[in-house]
Amino acid sequence: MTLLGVNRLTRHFGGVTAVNFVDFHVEQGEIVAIIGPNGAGKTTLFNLISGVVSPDSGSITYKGAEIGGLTPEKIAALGITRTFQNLQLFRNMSVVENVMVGAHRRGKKGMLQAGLRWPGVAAEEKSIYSRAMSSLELVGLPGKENYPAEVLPYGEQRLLEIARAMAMEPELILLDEPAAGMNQGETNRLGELVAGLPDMGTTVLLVEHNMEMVMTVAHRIVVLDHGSKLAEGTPEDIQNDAQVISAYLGEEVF
Amino acid sequence: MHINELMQFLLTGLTLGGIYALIALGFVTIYTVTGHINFTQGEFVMLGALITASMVKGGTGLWAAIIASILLVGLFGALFERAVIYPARNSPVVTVIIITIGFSVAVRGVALLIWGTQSYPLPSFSSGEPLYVLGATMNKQSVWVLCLSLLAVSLLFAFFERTVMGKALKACAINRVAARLMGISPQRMSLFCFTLSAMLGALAGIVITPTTTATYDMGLMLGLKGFVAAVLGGLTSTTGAVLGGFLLGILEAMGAGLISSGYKDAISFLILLLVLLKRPEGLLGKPDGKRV
Repeated sequence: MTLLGVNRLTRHFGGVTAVNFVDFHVEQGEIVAIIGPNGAGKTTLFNLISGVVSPDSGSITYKGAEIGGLTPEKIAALGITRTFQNLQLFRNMSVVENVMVGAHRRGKKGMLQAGLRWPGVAAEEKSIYSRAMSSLELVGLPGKENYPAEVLPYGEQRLLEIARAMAMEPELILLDEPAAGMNQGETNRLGELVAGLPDMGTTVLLVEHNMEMVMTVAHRIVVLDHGSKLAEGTPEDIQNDAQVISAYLGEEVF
Repeated sequence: MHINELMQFLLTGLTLGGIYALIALGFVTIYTVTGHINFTQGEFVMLGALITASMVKGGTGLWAAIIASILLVGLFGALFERAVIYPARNSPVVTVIIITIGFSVAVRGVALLIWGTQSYPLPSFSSGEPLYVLGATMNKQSVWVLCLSLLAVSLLFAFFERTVMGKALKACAINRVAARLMGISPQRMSLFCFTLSAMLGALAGIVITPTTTATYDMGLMLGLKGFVAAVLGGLTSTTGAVLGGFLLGILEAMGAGLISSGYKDAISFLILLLVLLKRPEGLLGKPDGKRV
């Protein structure tokens, strides 16, 4: 089943066409990577899909329904979540509280009820807490739940963002350069984590500069350059695509 | 100067401070989550007081009237948010501030038409002899004021720290974009904050009425005092708002007692000026900090 469909999607910023007539789709259970040089439009594409910015033209469909231009909270409610290239954690909140905010949507009681109906609050709170804790365990951050989020090392803050996003139990997660700032060991563990997400029912759309990780985990790759789609295919196809190599990868990468 | 007198001023100050703290919390709750400063806060105080006083006058039991009034003012706050703030949500901050000032003038005008200029009394919540604390007298209503404001403050803290909704509100205040991507709707949070702040304001107006009586224009001064207390506490911190409220109440009472009661309001606004000029981030705020 096609989970996400992007058709002739276009977005300008002033005179710059950040995303230009881009087409691609993501099947349920896939890991699709988007690669391209800086300024290729990858982050804009994520902003469009997650509702942070609205498309100028073209369409974004999720399970066949148009979602282009919906507010971020509506898109999140449909089961799409994301992480950020420049981290967007809730500072001044503890690690587990950050994840609990992500987990709140899956609360059986509405948020208002959870806030106001006292007898049910404790039980609800407990179940959200335990879901947050298992999300932290998933990304490998146990034992740090009471730290303030901002004291975690950079790589762990990235993992925390993934934990927070996964606590929403999303059907589609958009990961924006999750390996940035991570060392080799952390990147390898991240790769394993990402590779395991489809088995948990979460389809992955990944923007990443670490080619080793992309080539290992991605089922398919979409290459963007100057806002347009340059190529699409399996990791093998992309590695052998002369156009891609000249535009972006460069011989020395492989 | 007797120590008894100082104690008396301190007790008076704490009572006033409890009221200011409740009003300041209304300002802070709305500001942290929506970024707006709501100068209609004082009118919530007035409406709470006058609705309760009218209901009691009409024969409703005191506690029933109090609860009904808090709920009604909460509803009023929600309607205010939907009808006035929501349509202006994308306007600059200054525009929204001016809208809230204008709306407060309108509410005061309508209150004048409904209730007139006379003052409405409310009986003390309990009768009996005043208490004596270290040589100072404290009437029963002051005890009520202190206890109810502390109760409201503790409930609010528990709410922000212990409930998921509270965390969602905090998240919305800290990083709105990320909160929206977690499925939190800022508009719903805004609606909730205005409702909550209206109820806090109403409570403040109700508990102070047995001491001061209620009039249509009481909200102006009380709202400004609450704002001073909130600024004193840094505008972004609930703890700061509570401390600011009590500090302002005590300074006012001391100033009134030691200098002259005529300077009571002047002292508040002098404090506001000093804080804004010398320490705009408030007593607890971090300089140049981001709004959180």
